[in-house]
Amino acid sequence: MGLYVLRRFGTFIILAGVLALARLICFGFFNPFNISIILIMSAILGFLALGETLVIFTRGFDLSVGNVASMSSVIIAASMLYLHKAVPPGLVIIVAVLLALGAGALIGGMNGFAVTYMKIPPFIATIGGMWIAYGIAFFILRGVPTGLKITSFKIVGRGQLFYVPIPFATLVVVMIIFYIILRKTPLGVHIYATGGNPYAVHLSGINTKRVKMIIYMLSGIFAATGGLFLAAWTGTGFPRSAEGYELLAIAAVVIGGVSLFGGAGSIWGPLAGATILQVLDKIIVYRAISPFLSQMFIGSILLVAIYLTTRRKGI
Amino acid sequence: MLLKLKNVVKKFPGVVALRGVNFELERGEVHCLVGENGAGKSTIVKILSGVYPDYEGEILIDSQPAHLSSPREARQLGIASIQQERDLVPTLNSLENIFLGNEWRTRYRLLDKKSMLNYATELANRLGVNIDLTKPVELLNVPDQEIVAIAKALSTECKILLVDEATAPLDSEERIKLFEVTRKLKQEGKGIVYISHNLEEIFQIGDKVTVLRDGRVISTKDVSKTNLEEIIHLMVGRIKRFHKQEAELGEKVFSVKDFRIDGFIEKVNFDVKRGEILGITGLAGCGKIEVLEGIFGLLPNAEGKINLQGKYVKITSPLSAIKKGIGLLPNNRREKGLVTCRPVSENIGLTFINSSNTVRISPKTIMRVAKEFIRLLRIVVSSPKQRVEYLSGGNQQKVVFAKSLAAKCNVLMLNEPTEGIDVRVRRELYDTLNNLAREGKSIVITSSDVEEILNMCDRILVMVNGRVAGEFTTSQTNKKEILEYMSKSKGNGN
Amino acid sequence: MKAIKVLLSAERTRKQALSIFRSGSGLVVFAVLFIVATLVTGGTFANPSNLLEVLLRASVIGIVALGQNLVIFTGGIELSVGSVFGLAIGILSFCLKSGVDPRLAILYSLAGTVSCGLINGLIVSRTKMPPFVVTLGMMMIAQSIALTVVGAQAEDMPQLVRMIQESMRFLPAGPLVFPLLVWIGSVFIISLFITFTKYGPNMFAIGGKEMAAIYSGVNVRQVKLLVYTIGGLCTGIGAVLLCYRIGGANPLAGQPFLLPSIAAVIIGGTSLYGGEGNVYNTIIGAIALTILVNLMNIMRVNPFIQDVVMGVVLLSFVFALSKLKKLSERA
Repeated sequence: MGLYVLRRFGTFIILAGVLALARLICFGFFNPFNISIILIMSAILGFLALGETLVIFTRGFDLSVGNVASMSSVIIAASMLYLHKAVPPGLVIIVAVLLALGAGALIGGMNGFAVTYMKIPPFIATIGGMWIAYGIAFFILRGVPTGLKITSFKIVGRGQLFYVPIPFATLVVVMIIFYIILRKTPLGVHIYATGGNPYAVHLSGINTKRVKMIIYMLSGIFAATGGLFLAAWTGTGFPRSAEGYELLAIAAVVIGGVSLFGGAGSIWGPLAGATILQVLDKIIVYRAISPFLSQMFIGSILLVAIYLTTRRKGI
Repeated sequence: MLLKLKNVVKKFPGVVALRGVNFELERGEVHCLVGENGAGKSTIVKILSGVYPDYEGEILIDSQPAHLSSPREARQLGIASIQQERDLVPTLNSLENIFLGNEWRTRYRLLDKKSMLNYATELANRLGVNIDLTKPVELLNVPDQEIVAIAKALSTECKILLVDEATAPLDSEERIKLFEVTRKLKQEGKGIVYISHNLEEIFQIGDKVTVLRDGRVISTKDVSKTNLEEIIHLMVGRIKRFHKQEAELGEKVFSVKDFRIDGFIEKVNFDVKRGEILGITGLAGCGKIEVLEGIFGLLPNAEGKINLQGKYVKITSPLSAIKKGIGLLPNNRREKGLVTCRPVSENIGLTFINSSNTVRISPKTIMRVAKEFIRLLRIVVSSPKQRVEYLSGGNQQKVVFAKSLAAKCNVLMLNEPTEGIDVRVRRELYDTLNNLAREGKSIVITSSDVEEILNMCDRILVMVNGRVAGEFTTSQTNKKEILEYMSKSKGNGN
Repeated sequence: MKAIKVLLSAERTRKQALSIFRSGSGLVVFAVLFIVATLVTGGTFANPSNLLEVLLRASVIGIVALGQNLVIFTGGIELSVGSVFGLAIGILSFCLKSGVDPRLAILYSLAGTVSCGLINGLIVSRTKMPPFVVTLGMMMIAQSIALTVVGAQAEDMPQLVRMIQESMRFLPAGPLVFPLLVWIGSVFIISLFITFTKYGPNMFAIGGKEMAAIYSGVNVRQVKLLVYTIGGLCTGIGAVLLCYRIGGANPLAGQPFLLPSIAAVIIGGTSLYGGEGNVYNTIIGAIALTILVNLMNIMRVNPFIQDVVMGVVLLSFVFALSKLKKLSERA
């Protein structure tokens, strides 16, 4: 019974623990500014983790999310740069967002195609996608950090909706929608099933290729969304802005209690996982602990969290 | 005519599984398919359920030609199946599994969970079972999982139901309920193709029976106009009975006391003499396989005392068992017995390179040993370097044999050694076992083939639901008695 | 399935020919790249000094790929090689700056990487945690330790370079080809290890079908532990070679070696799932990868597009390989 509680709510318990730690060792940690930043950063990582979670449900993997996010931020900056003189600002923003999300969908579609039709293992397919996204990101602006020409866009990153930062509010809304899809629609059942027993799903007449394509494209779109908010918040598009985020996303998913073998899990755990990672990061900055040590903390927490959640299967 | 197969042929690389099968199924009829392992029964089911889309020949459903190119299409044509590998998604619950691919929706395209739950509960009642529909299926026990698979097939309101070995994990009460449901389906005008190794079921539920052998239809008969002996004769053809040869029985070499697995197997005791072959039989799920695996050190929950030549030994892992001279040939050779992507020689050598305490190995020695066993057991390979996955089932099983023999074990335990093997290779394996017994080894075999157990063993243990229901000396018993003991139900309040 | 007549010779030979082609696929890629490179650069590529440079560069990737290769044979993966590489550099920097004898410094840094490999191996072999996750965690931990100990700037290591040059003087061109000798020598030793110890077949058995390996009496724990430890050793050696070649490095210099180490193994024809493959093919894979990068540099391909190209090449390669496998099976 105790073990059941740990497994189901473990992530939230760890989150509470980490927050308590912050309260203890960081004086004045919980001021509105800090909380706001944590929520924004958690939302950005949370979008990537959401896409990653869906992919992992189907027993897949997406290593391209970090670079897709960076690519998205670059596309937004570039679109603004090239269009802001010729086109009204509102339209520029719309075009920029569409291009960024579209590119994310494209890379995601490419990943999905490689996995479903070319039967390439997801690990490798998404590494390819990762490199391609990276290349595109660098190519567009020659690797130069570029400020957003339409500064009003920054409000998307820094503004608030009923005191909740917009990125976070958006994430929550999207997650609620997907929660409904996962629990209350046939597609949701099919997603879990594809990861749980691909043969049984095939035998039941379900088109697993379609399910996986949708998932990988969604992962690309979510990663691009994360990049969008990142650009809005920092006010810059830079090809390395989300470097390494794919590993953090996977870490968030695993800390969130989702099994890497797929077939089961909740999407809320990874959000908590993302928040845990960001809070830890802030604690380290706050106490001026060597930033390099942050990876140590994250690494250790990762190992512990996974150990707690991997007890399930036998041989 | 509900279903008609005309000259259906199915080829795999290097093997012809079906050679021109003709088969008919009427509305409201239960047509049984029988045959030995590998005769082609499951292939027919897989073709009909759309899993093998490239076949030759004609299939007619309701007198309309149909080409079954995918499971989805098979479903749409009204074919539902319950297959051997209980294809359920382990992480989903029973309700989700039952309606997988066939989910009911409300107006808003959402899942209509309430209606599905009602239907499923009613279905469960019809089947006379009580299952928690919200638990993930992987947490259910095997008979319950089977019920879920059955419910899943029934829920599709199909015209044709294919049943492939669904009753094996069920006990007699559940079986009776299933037959009642089958009779109801007959009344509703559905056609049922029924495959089971339990030949007596044919006479309980079947209208017609078709016997397959080697991918061909040998004969189709009305159940009312035939009997068990005739069916067995048709299945097996002329076969000379193969007996265990007399070997000089020595002293007790291997003994097992108080073997148990909590909640599953209780108090199993047996011992084996030098030169003796002991057989353990029982229906699927009775625990016979787990007993040997537990002795071999594979199951951490297994407890018991093992004595070798009178001395107590502690076995903590397969390696420790092998080092003490106890070997296990596992069932399910593709998953447990062989590393299929590696060469035959490497597979044969895998155990003995680990049982010796040296780290160094000599590829020349391994090749020599491999060649020796290839010759000895008459394994058909193009070269010892050939990958095991390219071998036929019988030859693969011989490689599994060779592996244990190469490790020079004095006590050999074999789980279902002739599973999925044709008659010819079976005889070769029985030959080998006889030779081993003559050399003074002690052998334990498990098998669900009672015929085989009676022919090859000196003594027989019958297991039912985790305990030993009876112990017999072969010369003093017969098939009927064994089968009786095997079908002893768990009626006594288990 | 009953085998009535296994279709004989013609079929069998065709099947085996295709499978030979598949295992020599790295060679094909290498040959193609070599020819393309020579043609495109009008012969500059085939210049002996450029070729040597390519081989020397390939040595570092190659030795890291060697360790990765063994882990992949057992069906695992080593994501921490980049960070452990950096850790080795960090330890080297720290020791050399503190005036420690270069020989001892190398020993300490190897001890460090071997320990990381040991820890990875212990966790993977004793728990059910997937190697992906375990080595991911180690990657983060090792990187942070490295950066904390030394910081992120590059350090010059002239003492190291001089010591190795001195000791290699006895061989003509010794100091020059040192990395190459170490690499090829290591591959050779490892291949002996694979062929002449029980660990070779055991490794492949675990990667091919772990359950069957357990039933056959393989000590899975021991083999996995060994494989990750050797991986750590190889990574450490790679770090030393890099510092030798470019005279010093910073702890972040290991990161770019992670993905190429995996790519080299795959291009060499080893399956990512384990159970089959050949360490010599990985040599080809490492060289092919280095040629690709070298080629793109010579052609002045935008460095950012290089990543795109590498991505595309890797994808097409794996795709072609899997299609080839299907063909050879259907034969």
